[in-house]
Amino acid sequence: MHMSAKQLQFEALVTAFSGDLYRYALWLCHRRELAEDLVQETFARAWKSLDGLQDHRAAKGWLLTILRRENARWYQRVQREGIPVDGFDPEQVIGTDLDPASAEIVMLRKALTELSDDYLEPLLLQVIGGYTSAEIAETMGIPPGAVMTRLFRARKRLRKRLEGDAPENTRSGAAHKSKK
Amino acid sequence: MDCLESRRIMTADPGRYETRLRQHIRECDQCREFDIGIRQFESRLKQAASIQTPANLAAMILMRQSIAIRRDTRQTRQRWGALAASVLLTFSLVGIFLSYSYPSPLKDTVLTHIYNEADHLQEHNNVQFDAVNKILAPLGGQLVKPVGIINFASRCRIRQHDGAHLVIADKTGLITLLWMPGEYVRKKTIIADKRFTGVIVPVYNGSVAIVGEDQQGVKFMEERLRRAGSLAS
Repeated sequence: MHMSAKQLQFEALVTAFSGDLYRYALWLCHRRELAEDLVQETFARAWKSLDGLQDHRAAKGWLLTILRRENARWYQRVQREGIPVDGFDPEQVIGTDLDPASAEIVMLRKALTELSDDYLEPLLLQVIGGYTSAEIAETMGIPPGAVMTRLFRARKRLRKRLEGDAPENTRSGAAHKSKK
Repeated sequence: MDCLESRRIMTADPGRYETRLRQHIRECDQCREFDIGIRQFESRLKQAASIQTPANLAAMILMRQSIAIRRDTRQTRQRWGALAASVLLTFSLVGIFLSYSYPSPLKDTVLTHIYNEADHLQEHNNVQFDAVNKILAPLGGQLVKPVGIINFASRCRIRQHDGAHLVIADKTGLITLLWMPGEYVRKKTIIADKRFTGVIVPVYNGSVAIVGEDQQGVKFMEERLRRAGSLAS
């Protein structure tokens, strides 16, 4: 591939997908700086193997897969090297970009931060990534039926939280387990 | 399909319904109401998931990447300093070769393509909306809403990639749309010659050329496609 064409393709991918990748990363790690680093590292790796991207339509899925690997790699490093990490800060995710009238959205974001990874990740792949349940199953390496169950339960829990019920089977404390 | 199963699918995968479920929703008042509720919830969920991103995120990524590329280039240059003269000579020769062999600007390619296939401007096939999307889908494109009477739609080859060639009739005249996956432009590019005027708009997987004889018509079509989300970059 001619170098300038590669650079233009890369720029197009960054412009189109960096926002969604950042959102996905932030929901997974709950730290803005780390989310930025993960997205940066994702695109650095994408640059190196961009020539291998055959199908332009698969670009977003390809980038999300790289990001998931980067996230897993980061947590493996934390565990292996005993890197001290601050606790989760859901406030970083809930953010301040909403007006006071958006109480319902704030509550929904809080509920999302409380979902365990098993439920949160397929939901994010569907809502942010636009994945079908079959694609989620393939990405996560679980049966399609299990994906549908997790998506069903995730939404059911979120709706319950909106209606004022206490959370159940949620992310416990600050120990975020990424097992991809 | 019973109500329980229907609601389970609606909750797990809102909006992506198979024929049997759509049929059930049509026939069952309670499930129809449930579907409305779940779609409203989905809209709020999408809003909640759409966290604000740092304003300069894309620029920051591109800047860091270009620094990394420059650094790699510099390190390579230092490492191979002893061979610099011969490498430079090689690159110079390659550069001269590329300056002769690299294709003409995309806007020239677009105009040449339209002139070479000018007979498509005479066609009146009235191609249906769904049929157009069948042509665009494998190329990663989509018309979200009807954009006018489509006189012609077909796959075509633009430089090294497969693309799509559409001719649309609207009140200002004929507009040619060229969907060009793999053909990238950095920013919106103006096309103009004695007959045609138009733009090439970057999209996520390449670019789309919108060309006609009337500037207002081109502008109107670009706006219409942008509003419909067909020009998502």
